[in-house]
Amino acid sequence: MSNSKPEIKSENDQAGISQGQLIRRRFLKHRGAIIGVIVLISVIIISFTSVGIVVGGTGKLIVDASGAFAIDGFRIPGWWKYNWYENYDLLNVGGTPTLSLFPLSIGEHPFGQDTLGKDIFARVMRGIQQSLTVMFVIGFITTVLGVLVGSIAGYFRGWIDSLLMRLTDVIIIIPVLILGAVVGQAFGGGSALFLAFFLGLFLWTGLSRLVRAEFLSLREREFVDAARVAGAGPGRIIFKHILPNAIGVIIVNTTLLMSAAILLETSLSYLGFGITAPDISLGQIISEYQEAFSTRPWLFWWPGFFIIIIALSINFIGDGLRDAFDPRQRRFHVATDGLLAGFRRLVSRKAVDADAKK
Amino acid sequence: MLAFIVRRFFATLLVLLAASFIVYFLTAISGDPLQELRGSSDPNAQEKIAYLTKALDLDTPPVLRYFKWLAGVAGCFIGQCDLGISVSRGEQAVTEALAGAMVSTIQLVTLATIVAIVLGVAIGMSTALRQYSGYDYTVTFMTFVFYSLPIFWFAVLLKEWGAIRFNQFLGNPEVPLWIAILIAIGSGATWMGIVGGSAKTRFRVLVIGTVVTFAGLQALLVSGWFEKPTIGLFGILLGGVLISAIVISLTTGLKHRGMLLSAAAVVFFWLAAWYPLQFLFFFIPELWTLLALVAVAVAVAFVVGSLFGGEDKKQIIRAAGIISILTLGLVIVDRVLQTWSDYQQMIPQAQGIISTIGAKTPNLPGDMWFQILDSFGHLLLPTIALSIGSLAAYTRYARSSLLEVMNQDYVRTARAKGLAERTVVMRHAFRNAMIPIVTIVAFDVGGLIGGAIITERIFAWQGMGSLFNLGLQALDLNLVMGVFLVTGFVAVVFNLVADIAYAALDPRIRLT
Repeated sequence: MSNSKPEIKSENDQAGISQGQLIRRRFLKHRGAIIGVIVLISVIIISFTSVGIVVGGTGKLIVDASGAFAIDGFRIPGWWKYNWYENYDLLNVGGTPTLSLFPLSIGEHPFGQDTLGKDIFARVMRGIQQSLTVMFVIGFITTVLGVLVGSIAGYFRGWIDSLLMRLTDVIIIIPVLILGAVVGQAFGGGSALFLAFFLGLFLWTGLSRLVRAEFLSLREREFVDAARVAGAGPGRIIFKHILPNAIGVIIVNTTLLMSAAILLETSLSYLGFGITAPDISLGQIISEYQEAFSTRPWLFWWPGFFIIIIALSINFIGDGLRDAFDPRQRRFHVATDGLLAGFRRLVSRKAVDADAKK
Repeated sequence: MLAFIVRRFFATLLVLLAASFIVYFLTAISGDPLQELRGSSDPNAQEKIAYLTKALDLDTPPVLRYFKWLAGVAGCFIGQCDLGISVSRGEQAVTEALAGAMVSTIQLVTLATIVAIVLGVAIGMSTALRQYSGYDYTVTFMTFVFYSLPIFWFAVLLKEWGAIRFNQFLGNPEVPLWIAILIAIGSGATWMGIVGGSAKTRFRVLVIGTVVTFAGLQALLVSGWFEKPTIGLFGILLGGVLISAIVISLTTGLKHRGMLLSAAAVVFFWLAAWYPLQFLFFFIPELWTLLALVAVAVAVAFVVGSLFGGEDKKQIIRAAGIISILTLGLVIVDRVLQTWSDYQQMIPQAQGIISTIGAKTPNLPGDMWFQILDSFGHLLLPTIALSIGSLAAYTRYARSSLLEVMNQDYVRTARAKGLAERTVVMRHAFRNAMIPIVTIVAFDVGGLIGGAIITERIFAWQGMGSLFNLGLQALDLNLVMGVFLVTGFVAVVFNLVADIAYAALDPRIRLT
């Protein structure tokens, strides 16, 4: 660290760094964010490669013509030998986890089994896949819609702005639970993708307000006037000139929204309104096993652990991005003059008073 | 300003109208509320279906039905609310169901909000003042963890460790030595982080904090305090001195003689009043006794402050008032704790002091003090579960808000003219840093009334959240709409309040 500082400075003097390089460098210095990126990527890779993925279908468990359970769609198997829907023989009594640290061994069922013998590792991995899918889809749709609505309202102002903002007001007070219920009951549960898509259609409001505020201030800047004088149309000004300057706000808030999205999906599924059995998500697993906490805690620990890990790493990434885009919070110095100092002053003055009396 | 409020109010009414239509429509298309009945083999089912179809007006298409429902709502303006009946609650009128649930929810969220705001602001500000210290990093990390915590997962853990295990601990209070040492070191390290200062000071605080915590814990264990917790006269004295020390060091500073005298007088007053108050508490255990005592507390502070205040009368009365009310709180807690043993006899064996089900023990005999202890036992865990997320949020907001203010020029001016750091922070920075927090709080309070769905479900509270959940599960349209109406209305009103508060607190902002 200490070596790199003068190096950056000399580079700065000679070549100059672009805004993007500056942000990237600041981000890479944020230790929490880097750890967050590494953890998130590992979770993604492990969850998708271990139990494989389902393509060309909803991935839900169905009963086929012969009466046996099957997966809707084609499953590409992964390197983990068990899957999330079949029952296996119970290896340990009660299905206790085989994972041990001393000596380090994974065993047959590292996260244990449930009463039916389902492999919890496979179930949790599939749950992570579903929850991550929901998270990314919500993140993508809300960003697109939020940026679109916010930039149009902020750039054109006037009646378009009023109309779009009142629309935002309307959507913002619709309870999310209702959306979950509609997806669950009207469309028969749908797949994770469908749920995410539907939720995304309603969750863009916060971002659109932020983008609008950013556009309202950016559109008054000289470079926008310059572009207009040069003959650029509204579309070009919005997307080529103003949007790149608002990208910091957008990226940071999308990250934070995604960490909120994974908590939202798990909460909905926990309440029985999101992804419901026999489909799997992290919240659904906890909901399914919550009664078993005192007897089979591992059914409960692992999905919760992964929810926290995912949300935490995304929050750290968001924090790192915020620091990288907006390093304005400078350090200030404050003398430590707290309880102790006041007390010491009091005591010492008492001593002086006592001396004087003598 | 008035024109702004009126215009905004009507705009929000329109917004509410549009949103309610969407919600009505979405809920209506999400399923058939009589599905269960239709599948039932009960001979009366057909009759019942016909009856409910008529009562709920199911033959009318949802769009038209919405306007009929709206007519019932419009009746509220002339004092005749008709929100329909709730099928899932035995055809109870929705207004009735809402009234009961609202009381329960307000009880639950008020405490959680206050706890979250007070603690969050205090922790956030202390981290801002110790920016980039170990304490700051630890708290920041903890807030991130709290943010990422799924509440339903956390609440199940709370039930296990906060209720079942804790009740077991209360039945047989023993703390293994290594845990006691860990707790002591943890507390010492926290104090070290908050106090800060030079390496020598930090080390001293660490040692003192650890030793005091360890000795205190052992003393409580040896004296059997956990079996029968009390405060007593000595506890009130100790607590009063501690409260005074904190309040004084935050307001006037410990060298202000008039302030010290006032604080001493106030604490002494409550110590002297303790014995006679026991009779009052025994004979008149009513709510208005407590309210009258709060009035007495304020009056005492006023008298004492006027006597000893001198030039800083106003400020000292205010500080003495805070000390007085908090000490009164100790006296009341002392009285409530006196019922501890009897209360344990009264409640069912399986329950334990910390309860996880509902808002109160049904059919609990005993006077107000038992009821207070009972409510507390029921409120503790849901309050923790509810406040943990907003606590983290307020901590972050308070931290960044104070950091921003501390970089302003007027803070530099205040320092430059030689004010004490305490005055700079508490009087110049703190008040300005609170402006954005107030608006955020107003937003959050608006959302709270309907927001405790998961907590209410886990702890079996019959509040707005559980009504909403029930309504959605049973596709009970009237119930869902009733809850939405209340929560939506409160939310938009508090949004308006947030805007007005912002303009009222910050004169640079004008509402147009």
